[in-house]
Amino acid sequence: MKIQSKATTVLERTSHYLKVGVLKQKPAWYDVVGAFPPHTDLTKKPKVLELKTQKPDPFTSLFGTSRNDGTVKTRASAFDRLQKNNSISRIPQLEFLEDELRDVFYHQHPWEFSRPKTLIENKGDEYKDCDWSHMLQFNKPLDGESVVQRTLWLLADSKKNGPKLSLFEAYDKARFEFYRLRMREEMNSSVSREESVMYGAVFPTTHLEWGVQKEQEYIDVWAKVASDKTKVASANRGRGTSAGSGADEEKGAETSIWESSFEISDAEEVVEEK
Amino acid sequence: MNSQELFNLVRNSKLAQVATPISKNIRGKSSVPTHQIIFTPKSSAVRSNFGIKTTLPKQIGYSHISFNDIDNYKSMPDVEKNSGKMYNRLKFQETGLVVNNHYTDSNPLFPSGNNKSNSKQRDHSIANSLNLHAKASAEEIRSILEQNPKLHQKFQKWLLVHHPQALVSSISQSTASELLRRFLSTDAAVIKKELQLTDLAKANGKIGSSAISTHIQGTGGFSYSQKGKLTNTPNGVKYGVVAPGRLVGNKEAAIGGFVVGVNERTTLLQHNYAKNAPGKHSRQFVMPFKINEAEITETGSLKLYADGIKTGSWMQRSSSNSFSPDRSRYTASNPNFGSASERNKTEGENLQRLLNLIIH
Repeated sequence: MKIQSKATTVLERTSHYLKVGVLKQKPAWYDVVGAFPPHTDLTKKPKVLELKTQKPDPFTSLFGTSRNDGTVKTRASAFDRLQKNNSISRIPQLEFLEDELRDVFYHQHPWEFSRPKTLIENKGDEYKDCDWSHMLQFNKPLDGESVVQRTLWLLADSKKNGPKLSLFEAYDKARFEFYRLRMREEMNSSVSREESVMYGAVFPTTHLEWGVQKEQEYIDVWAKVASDKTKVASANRGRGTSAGSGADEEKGAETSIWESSFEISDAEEVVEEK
Repeated sequence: MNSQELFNLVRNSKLAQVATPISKNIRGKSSVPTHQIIFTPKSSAVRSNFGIKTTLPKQIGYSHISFNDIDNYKSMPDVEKNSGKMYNRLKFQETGLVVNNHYTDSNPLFPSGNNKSNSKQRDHSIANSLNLHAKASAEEIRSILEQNPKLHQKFQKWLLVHHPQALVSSISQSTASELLRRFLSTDAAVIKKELQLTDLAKANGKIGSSAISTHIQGTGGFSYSQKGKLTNTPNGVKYGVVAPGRLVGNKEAAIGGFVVGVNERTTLLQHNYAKNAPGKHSRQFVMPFKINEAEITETGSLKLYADGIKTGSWMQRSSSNSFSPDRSRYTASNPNFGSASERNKTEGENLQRLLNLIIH
């Protein structure tokens, strides 16, 4: 076997060797590479350049021409060297109608931003399971994207069969379908909560109570810092102008706000006092 | 992977489904959410994988995040923890309140003539009848006028047919502009500015000068609860909404993440108590409030109005600091606990109904 340099023909050669009998066993990779053969030849081949077969560089045609005042241009000016066609080296922007629709929807419904969304996906083909002839999907939560996809479906459908819809009409139709489903969702959740309360369910904390507790943590830290600073301020005020270095001494005793911690006993005391 | 495959993968990815943020400031002082809130399942969160290009620092933990960009040339994605607005909405939802609005007469969640996406703001300017914003630049107006070259002659002809008296006798400026507006809105030959999708979105939080519609649609996605629902509890039907909050000013309270306007008269006592408590700040006291009204504005921000509720033994404590309630000083809270203005309104309605009966 001579040393081979063409990587892409590895399958071809191996099958040839197997047929001839040079190799007795199929290599482990054989079936896999057979199923997914490399379709791009990545080996770099030198470009064959022969004398006088190439076209002359157009850049050189700038020089050697005589100008109006009798002088001859011999080298490129700064203007000539400037890259004029910048757009050719730029990465083209991907532009989709979906993106515009999505921005319109979310900017008109800013609170829809506050409904959390996950970006984790395994294969990236989950969109194939969706059927946008109806808005509610089995494998996708209802959100702004539903409106976008439904609008596009309505547009395509109206073009194919049925009365023609404008973009805004399709968007409005999808929007009000979305509102209807959201209203149902919210009503469902409140009714089921009510039902479970009537059956004796007790919720440990509500979001409102939890929020108050969370606020209390920060307020307690702040209260400690504030009381310390108040002491410093009142002490300085009492001393008058004669105490020059007083403020600096007091500052040493001050603790950092990150050192103090939330005391549960304090929070309870406050709740009781209410 | 060829470029078409990449194109489709990007187009259909969940990452592409995140809308452009309204502002660059992730946790800024905006009264509406500006960035999509992202969560990640726990199994991904332990690997700090949020589905964006880079993994995030461990300190983010299981939190909700928002981002401006998923990566940059320094490999430092512009990401922050962000969940405040989500909890604000959840807390509001928990109260079961219904948002009112003053920007439309009809319910904005149901289709009607005046809440279509392409319905323009009624600002009665001449530019508005050419589908332009009242603050449209001279450039934009000029370009529209260039598309309608013989506008003046057409207007004169239209006047001749419909209002010939305007040609012979002198008319006031307001009448002339009214006629012009009527001409522009009725004549089919007039070329108007075509509304585009980009007119409706807010690029970098600012709406374009040519944009026609600057306001939110529906309830801005905040709440979808409807009026007229009766809430049942084991203790009977619930009429009012009581929520814990803190006094943060003379007329403001912080309830459920919102700064709420409170009726000063109903919180005088609470205010005095909290202010005079030795060694305490008024924000350290949590007290109940009755939320009367929630209103969503055209920009999507929320206005809430609440009353303080007189409750608890401390309110009935006398100055001698004994715990026996001194009922002569403070009235007990009204079990019906509607505020005076509300009660007056219902009484007024009853009276009106009676008067109608007498008249008819």
